[in-house]
Amino acid sequence: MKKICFSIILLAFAFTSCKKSFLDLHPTSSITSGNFYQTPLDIQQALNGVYASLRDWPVDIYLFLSEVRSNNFYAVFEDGQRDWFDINNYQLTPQATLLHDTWQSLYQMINRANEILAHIDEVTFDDPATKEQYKAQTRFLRAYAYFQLVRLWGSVPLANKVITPAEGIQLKQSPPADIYKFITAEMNAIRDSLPTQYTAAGDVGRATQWAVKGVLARVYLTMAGYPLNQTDKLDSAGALLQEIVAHEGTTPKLMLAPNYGDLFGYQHDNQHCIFEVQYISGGLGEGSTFPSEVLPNLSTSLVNVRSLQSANRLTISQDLLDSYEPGDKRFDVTFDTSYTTNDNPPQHGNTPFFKKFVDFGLTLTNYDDWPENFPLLRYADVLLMDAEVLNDQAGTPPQAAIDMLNRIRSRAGLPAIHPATKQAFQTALARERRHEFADEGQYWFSLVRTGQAVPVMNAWFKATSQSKSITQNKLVYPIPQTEMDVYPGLYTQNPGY
Amino acid sequence: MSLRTFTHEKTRALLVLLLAGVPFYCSAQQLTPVSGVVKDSTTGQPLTGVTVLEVGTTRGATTDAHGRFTLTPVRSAGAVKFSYLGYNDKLIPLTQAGRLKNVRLSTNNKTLNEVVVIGYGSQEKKDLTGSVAQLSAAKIQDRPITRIGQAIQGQMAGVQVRATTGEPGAALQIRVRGSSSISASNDPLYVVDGVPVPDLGNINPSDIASIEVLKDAASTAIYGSRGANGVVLITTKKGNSGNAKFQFNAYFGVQTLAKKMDLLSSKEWINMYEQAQDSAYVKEGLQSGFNWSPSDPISVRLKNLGLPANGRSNTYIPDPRWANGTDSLDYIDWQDAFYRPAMISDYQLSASGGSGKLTYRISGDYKDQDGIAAYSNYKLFSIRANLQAKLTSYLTLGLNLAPSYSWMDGGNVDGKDAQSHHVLAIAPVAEKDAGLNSGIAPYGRYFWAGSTQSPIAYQRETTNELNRQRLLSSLYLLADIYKGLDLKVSGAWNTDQQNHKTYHPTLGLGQVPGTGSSGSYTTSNTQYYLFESLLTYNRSFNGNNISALAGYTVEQTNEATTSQSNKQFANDDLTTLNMSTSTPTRSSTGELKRTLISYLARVQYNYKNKYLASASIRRDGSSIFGTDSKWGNFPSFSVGWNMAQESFMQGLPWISQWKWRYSYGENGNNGIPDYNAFGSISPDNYSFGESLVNGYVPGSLSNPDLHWEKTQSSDYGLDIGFWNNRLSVSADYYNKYTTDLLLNVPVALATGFASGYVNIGHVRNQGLEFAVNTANLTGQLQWNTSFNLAFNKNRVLQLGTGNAPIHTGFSHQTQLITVGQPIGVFYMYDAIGVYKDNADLKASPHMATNKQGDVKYRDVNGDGTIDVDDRTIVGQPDPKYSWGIYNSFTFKGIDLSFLIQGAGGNKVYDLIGRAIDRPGMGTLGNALGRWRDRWRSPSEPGDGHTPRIDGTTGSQYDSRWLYNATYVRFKSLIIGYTLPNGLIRGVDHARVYFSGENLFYLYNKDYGGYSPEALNTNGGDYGAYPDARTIMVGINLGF
Repeated sequence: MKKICFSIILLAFAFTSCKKSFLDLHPTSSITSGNFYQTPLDIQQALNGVYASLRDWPVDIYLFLSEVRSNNFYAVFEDGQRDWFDINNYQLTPQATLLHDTWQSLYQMINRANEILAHIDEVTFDDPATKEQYKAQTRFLRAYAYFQLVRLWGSVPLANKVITPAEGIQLKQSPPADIYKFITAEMNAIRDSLPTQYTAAGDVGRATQWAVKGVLARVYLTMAGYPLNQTDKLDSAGALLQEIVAHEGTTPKLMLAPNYGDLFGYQHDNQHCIFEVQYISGGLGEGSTFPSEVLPNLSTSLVNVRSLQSANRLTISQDLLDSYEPGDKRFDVTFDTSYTTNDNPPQHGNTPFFKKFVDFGLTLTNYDDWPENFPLLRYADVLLMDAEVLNDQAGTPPQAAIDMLNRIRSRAGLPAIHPATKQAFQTALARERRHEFADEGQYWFSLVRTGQAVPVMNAWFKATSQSKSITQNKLVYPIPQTEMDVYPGLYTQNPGY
Repeated sequence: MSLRTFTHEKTRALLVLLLAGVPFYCSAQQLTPVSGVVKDSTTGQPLTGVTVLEVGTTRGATTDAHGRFTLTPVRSAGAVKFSYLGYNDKLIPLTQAGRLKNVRLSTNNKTLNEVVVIGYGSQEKKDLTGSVAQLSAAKIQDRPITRIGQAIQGQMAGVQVRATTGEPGAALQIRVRGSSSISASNDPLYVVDGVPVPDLGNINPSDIASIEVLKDAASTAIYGSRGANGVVLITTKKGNSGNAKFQFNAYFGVQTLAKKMDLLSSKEWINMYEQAQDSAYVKEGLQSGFNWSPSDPISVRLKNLGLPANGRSNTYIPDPRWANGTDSLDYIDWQDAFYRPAMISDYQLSASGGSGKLTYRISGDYKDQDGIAAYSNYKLFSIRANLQAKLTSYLTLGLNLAPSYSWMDGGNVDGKDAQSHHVLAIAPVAEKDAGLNSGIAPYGRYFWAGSTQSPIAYQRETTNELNRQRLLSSLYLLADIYKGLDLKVSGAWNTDQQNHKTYHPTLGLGQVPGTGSSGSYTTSNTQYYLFESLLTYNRSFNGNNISALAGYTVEQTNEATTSQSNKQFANDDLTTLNMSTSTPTRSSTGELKRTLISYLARVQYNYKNKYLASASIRRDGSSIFGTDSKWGNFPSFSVGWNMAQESFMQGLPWISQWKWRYSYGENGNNGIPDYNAFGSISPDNYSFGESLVNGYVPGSLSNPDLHWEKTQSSDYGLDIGFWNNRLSVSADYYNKYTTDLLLNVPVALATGFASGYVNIGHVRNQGLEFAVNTANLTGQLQWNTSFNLAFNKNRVLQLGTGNAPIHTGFSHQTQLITVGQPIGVFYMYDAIGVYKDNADLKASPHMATNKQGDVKYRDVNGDGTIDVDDRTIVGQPDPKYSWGIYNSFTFKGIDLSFLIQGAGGNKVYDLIGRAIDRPGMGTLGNALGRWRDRWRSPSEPGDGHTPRIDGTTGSQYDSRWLYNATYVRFKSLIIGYTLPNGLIRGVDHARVYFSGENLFYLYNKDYGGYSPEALNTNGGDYGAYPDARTIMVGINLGF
């Protein structure tokens, strides 16, 4: 009897079951897409996430895909180890990791923005104006990312909303004209929606109305040149630039800082530039690697500084160094040509490097933790773009354009010049831009849009006995092979790759 | 009800029941003890360890060293059964007590009555209808095994074991019948004494009684959503009734690097360097419009470059001391310096026995293994206690406890950017005084070398400790409810605590201690609970034998992790983290919970052991999968026919076994990361106005339909035995068809994501397996051979939308998953030589950027030019076949056994070779030895395969580093001597042996890396911890 009782108890115990919810588990240490984008704070943090994508731009786009592509750099050693050698030598193949990474970063940024735009209208804001501002910043940043894509690759897929993987393999490339149309439509839609400046600590560095208009002007200027050659866009650019110039002095950032050297270095973050990529140091993962990418082994208090030049033989080209006029104050701000290295025993180094963004004496623990912001748009740029538009619109260089050019030269300690012809002005302007923005990634994109890239590069190859020449095919990069492979036939590779 | 409360309740209930069970303890009538001696019927030698059991009771004993036993029976009319491995059972009725005095057991060569452990039970081998490979303790215990996978390697047909790393304490990769999954795990399910465990780490091989690998779906379907990759069942040793028996095992050995890689010597490296400098110097001149000559001496170069007279430049100017050789500089062979002879020792002691109602086996193991890599070490301390108590005539209580603790020091050797990589990459020249401390203060780096610091000094100065505390515990209650109906209720609690500490002090010259230091401490704590009820029923009547099983199991895993990292320390005096003396860079915790509920049932039937059938089903519900697809059913059936027992076969007495088998089953693979069904939102912060702001961004795609991979497989088997099974052969053919693959499919980045998990695609594995066992000689000299051979053919049959191929491997550029090919075939440029001169370049298809001396690729599509469309399939990563042959000899007290094992038909991509070998890698580090035969000029074309030093194909992935991975290895050799019985008083069994593991390759023609089995980074060998050859001596003592 005992045995039977016992067996029944045991059996009853053995086959009790538990609730169905036992299996319905959700992550407890991570947020999922189902429960985010629900409050104004969520939206604000999601927008911060869009800005965070900007941190990839300076090194990937402005240094490697722009400066290194141009005759500002010269790869002495045929070093196949890193992509930048192939970029500089025009051997880049679609497999290059850097291309994939840049493409990925830009589309991630676009997706981040698309997610916000998909959800923001369901979120109730106490202040509807805040909502509109968040929307405007999101749309601006998304359009800006497309501007990078279209400049670097030409025809790219246009995702103007969140798309699923199934939609992703249906979405073909759009021609550059369509991408530009999207960019200008988006930026125009919100061009007056943002404040002219921010003062609250958590906002300084967000896109202002002037950032939108300045970038939009650059977009128009690019559309007016190669490859679209929509010359009517000069007027659109001119109107925006003149609006900005008309507001000179209304905010501290709409001014030409008297001293060129004051533009750079972390103490000058958020003081003189219209729009900057923000970095802070302190081991938070929010620092910049940009200064380290172009440093040799320097004897500073810096440690663990990864050096690009000494280890990888990518040097500043003699062509750039020789192109400066004597007395150009920008030369010493931009380059270091004589220094002591941290070798043992210390050596004298004379291979020039870009020191514009290097804050000497700053103690960092890591090469990727520099605090310097990186300029995306400065007032000098607005002036030079305006001068360019004015000259291009006129038969001979207008005085206003010459004045603007000479303001930049005068700050650099150089005498005024008076180019007599439209073409002479263009040449002078191109040189000024190269020096003013050396190491800021503007030069290559200007060469491309002004149609100078092919002749300038081929002349340089010839002058330096580099037995190669390029065609217009090399003015855009190959679509990353990973994307070509996702769904064969979806994308068309750029010609020449 | 949450599982925690659920578990509490169950535990409480179990305790109550156990207490309640005590009064049931029923004492039976005791009779006069019987005793006797058991001996071998032919030799007359006493047999030690024979199980003596009163039939129908649990009353039992084992014989001692002299073959003696004493047993107190409980039934006067019963019988006593004697059983001993390798001998026929003998049954003597108690009524013939006289026969008990001197029992003779005769040997058998049959393995028919062997019992095989299967999922949730065991079965006699002759009744088996599934495909199960077994490895008995005999093949494990005489061999000094450090990792369990090692015991299986080469021993089981269709079970492919790969020593992917030589790191002490690291697990081996086990694959059962090929790889059926692309993105999910291909690891089998490991089950120790009925309890699933995530890995076999910290388990003492000497505790293992048998290892069974369930291969076909009919055997594994009872494990449902975890069975698709096969199941490895580990059964640990239990105690037997009788006096306490002790076993002491110890071994000592020395490990050495099994194979060295061919690198440039210091002199050859210098020669290559000079050539590279000449080339750079000339190019630099051209940039400024000068024609500088490669023969310019140092003084001219300094002048031309604008450097002072004492200036240096590693790009353009040689080290003047190169001319003086080792008088001025240290030439270092880093492999010789870093990989050192390393000691290994192991001590094990166990006690087992039992009296009356309690049996026990308790063992302890201490292992201390230095790694061959400098300053690496592994220690393991483990205990296992297996206890069983007969509470009443119908209740048995069992407890298994296995705590263990291991320490792994000096990790950071295995893999990319770790020390095994640096040993190969570091320049073979150092400053005379720095030597093996090159790059570590007070010595700077050698100016002409890269920044790689001495890997030896690095290992010495840095801390990298991983310790692991593991407890496997289970408690079960077995109730004999009613005539053949048994209930087993068990609970298991496994806990695993891992702590990983690292500290990297500031080592560079001129650096202030602490400023560049970094340290981290991460922990992970896993708690696993299992509750399981199994009802079994066994009945035999009129030749019908039925065995049925119904069960219910609930499992829960809770994981908690913490991670902290700091950097920039006040000094390097302490290696612990403190935010007042260092800067925190990471501080995070994580939690994860995983649940699984299952119902299972199985019926096994046979008629007169002739016609066999079995069917099973399991229903699994898992938290891992999407909200819309939590449950799945996994059925199976199998049939068998023991044809040899048919009357028409009785005229062929030399055929002792002839069994046909067929099975079919469905099971699943749930080996994907948790919560993949949910799209994640990850932090990505930014700063505004110099202050940090929090940002969140989409981290992964969501898929609420995510479910397990389904595998349907069938197995056709034949087991034949001749001459009393002196020769036995097993053959299996299987067809494993996997659908709904959990695929991490690349998606267009235009979606914002590079990939996402979906269930899509089909893969098939087909294979043949043969196992042959022979007793070649059975006299005084015994010779047994077992041979196994398995072929596996793996094919991808279907993929995602439009069957778009998936690029995978290193940087997604070395492998391809495409329809009609095995999973992950190597896909890259096929290097066919070097453009020997400009004429060759002009005449051959080439890339626009190619120059003479560059690597020449095969123009696969024949369009006259080389581009991405010329990448092609050049081999598969998984072996097409694997085999092993094991021979054992005994002659008097001497035993000798050896294992030769191999695999082949596959390739291995030597990523480490590529990393230090690409053309144009620069010369700051060392390169593969083949660079001594590089292309130098059209008149000095080298070996025709190695390009010029500054070749343009450096960024490409090509077949120059793809090697044939076919190998034949003389894996182990053991020679032992067992001392004659009774030579040492009080010692029952004493054996000394010599053993060698990883002795040498009989065939490994051309692998350029350390081991063709190595595998660590995206399908390649990126600096795996090299294999060690181990020579050991050991003793086994039983007393």
